[in-house]
Amino acid sequence: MNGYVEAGYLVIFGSLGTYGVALLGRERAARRRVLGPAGAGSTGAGSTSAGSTGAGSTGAGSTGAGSTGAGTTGAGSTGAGSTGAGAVSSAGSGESTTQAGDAPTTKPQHAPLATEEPEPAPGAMS
Amino acid sequence: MSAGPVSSRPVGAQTRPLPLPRPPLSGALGALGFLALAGVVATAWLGLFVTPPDEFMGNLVRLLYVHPPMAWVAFLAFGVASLASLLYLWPRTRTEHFDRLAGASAEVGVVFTGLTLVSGSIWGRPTWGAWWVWDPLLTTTALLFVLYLGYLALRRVPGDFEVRARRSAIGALIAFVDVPIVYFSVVWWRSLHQAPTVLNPTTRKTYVHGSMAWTLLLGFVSFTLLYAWLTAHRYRLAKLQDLEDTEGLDLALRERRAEGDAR
Amino acid sequence: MLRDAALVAGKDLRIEMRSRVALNQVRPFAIAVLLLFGLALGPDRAVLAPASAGLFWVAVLLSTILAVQRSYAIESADAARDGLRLSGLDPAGIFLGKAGAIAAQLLVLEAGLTVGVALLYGAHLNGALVLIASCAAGTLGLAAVGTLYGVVASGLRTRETLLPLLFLPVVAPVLLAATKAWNEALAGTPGRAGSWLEILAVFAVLYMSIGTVAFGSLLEDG
Repeated sequence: MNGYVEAGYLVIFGSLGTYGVALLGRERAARRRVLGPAGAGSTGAGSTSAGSTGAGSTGAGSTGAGSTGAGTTGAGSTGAGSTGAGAVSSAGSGESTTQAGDAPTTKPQHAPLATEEPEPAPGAMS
Repeated sequence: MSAGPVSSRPVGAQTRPLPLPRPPLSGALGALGFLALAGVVATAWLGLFVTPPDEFMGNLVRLLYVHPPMAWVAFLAFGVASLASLLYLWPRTRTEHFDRLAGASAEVGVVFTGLTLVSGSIWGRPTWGAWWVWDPLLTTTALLFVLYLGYLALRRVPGDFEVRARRSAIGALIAFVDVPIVYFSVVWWRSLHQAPTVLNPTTRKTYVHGSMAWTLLLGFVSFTLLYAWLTAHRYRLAKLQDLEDTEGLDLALRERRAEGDAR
Repeated sequence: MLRDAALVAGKDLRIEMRSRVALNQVRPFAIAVLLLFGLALGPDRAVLAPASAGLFWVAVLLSTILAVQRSYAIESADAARDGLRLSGLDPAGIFLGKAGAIAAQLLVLEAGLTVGVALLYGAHLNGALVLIASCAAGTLGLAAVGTLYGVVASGLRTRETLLPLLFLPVVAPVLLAATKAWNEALAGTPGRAGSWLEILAVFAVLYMSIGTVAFGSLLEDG
C-alpha cells in the first residue's frame, strides 16, 4: 500500500515542480526577448536555471553584459525567427511563441526580420 | 547589468526602447512563492512522515492531504477564470487584464485538475480495487478537465486580441454555467445506483486526529498559495507575450533601422 | 426577433429540403453509428436492449455535431455569413432560427433512430410521452449549444476538431439526463423521469438564453 502513496506524492509534487520551473523559464525567456539585455527581471537576474525547459540560453548561463542576444522577431506570436548564428534551440515547453534559443550577440543587435534561418548579420560577432 | 559594450555601438543609433523596470509586485510575488513553497513542502513532510496512519485506510490517508486541496484549487481556478471572463464581458470592467487572468488561471487550473484526477485514481486503486470509479466528484472533475481543455483550445484560436478575448470569455461562461448542471446530474445519476458509500474525503475531516486535521488545513492553504503564485507568473508570461506581439515588430524595425544607420 | 428567426429557420430548412444533406448524409451516419455499436457490444440483445437509450443518445450527440457543421457550411459559400451580418437581421433571431432549424432536423433524425433502436436492439418503446418530451427538451439544448459553438468554429481551419471538443463536454448532462429519462420510460416507470426532464428543460432554457444574448458578438467576430 505504501507504494501508492510514494508514487502519488512523487507524481503530484514532481508535476507541480516541473510546471513551476518551466513557467519561470518561459517567463525569463519571454522577458529576455522583449526587453533584451536590459531586462533582467525579478525571476533570476539574467541567469537561467539549468532545469528550465523554456527557450533558455545555452548551458553556460548567460550573464547580462550584452551576451544575451534577444532580438525579437518581427513576425509576432508565431514567429520563430532566430537571432544570429548559433541559435541554440531547446523546444519551448509547448508555447508557440518561444524562440529558437538565444545566441550570444554583441551590440548592436541585428535581428533579421522574421527569418527562420540563422544568418550572421553583417558586422555582428556571435 | 550594462547594456553591452558601448564602443561597438554606432553613435546616434537607436538600440532599444527604455528598459522596463522590474515588474510590479516582484517582491510580494517572491514572498508569496516562498510561503507557498514552504507550505507545500511542509505539507508533504507532515503528510508523509509526521502524521499517523489512519485506522481504516492505513497509509493511504496521506494522499488525502493533497487530493482535496488540489480538487479545491481546480474548482477555484475555474471559478476565477469564469469570474474574470464575466468581468471582461461586462463593459464597465472590460480590461485586457481580466482576459489574461482568465487564461492564466485556466492553464494553472488544468494542471491541478489533471493532478486531482491522478491522485484520486491512485487513492482509489487500493481502496476500491479500480483505477477509476464513477464517483460524482471524480466524474465532475473529469468533465471539468475536458471543459478546461476545450477552453484552452478556444483561447489559442488565432485572431485579433479583442475578438479572441470576447470569444474565450463567452466560451468560459458556457462552460462555467455547465459545471453545476453536470454536478447535479452526476450526483443524481450515482445515487440511483445505490453506489457503495463513497468515502467523501471532506466529511472525514471531522473524524481526523489533531495532526491530520492541521496537515489537511495546511494543505488547503499551501496549495491555494501555490495556485496564486503560479497564476501570477503565468499572467506575467501572458503579458510579456502580448507585449512581444505588439511591440516586437516595432523593436525589430528599430533595430533594422539602426543597422541601416550603422552602414 | 421571432420574425427574423422564422426567416432564418425557413431558409435553412428550405436549403435542407432541396439539398437533402441531412437526409442523405447525417441520417446514414447515425444509422451506421447504431450498427457499429451493435457490432461492438455483441449480438446478445440482453446486452443491447438495456443500453438502447444510451446508445441512442450518443448517436444523437454525434449527429448533432454533423448537423451543426452542415448548418454553418451552407453559410460559408458566397460570403453568406457576411450577408447575414449585413442583412440587418436581429442576431438573436438568427440564433433562434439556426438553432430551430438544427433542432427540427434532429427531431426528424431522432424519429428514425427510435425506430432503428427498437429494431436493432430490441428496445420496447414504452412511455412514449416521456420519450418524446425528453427528445424535445434534449434536442433544444443540443441545438442551442451546437449553434453557439458552431458560429465560433465556423470560420476556422480547425473547425472539424474544435467543434466536437467544445461541444461534447458541455452537453454531457444532456446525454446523462436524457438517457436516464429514456431508461425510466423504457423500463415502464415513466413517473420517475421527472427530475431528469427537469434537468433537460433547465439546460435548454439556459443555453437558449445564453445563445440569444451572446450570439450577436460571436457573429461579429467572424
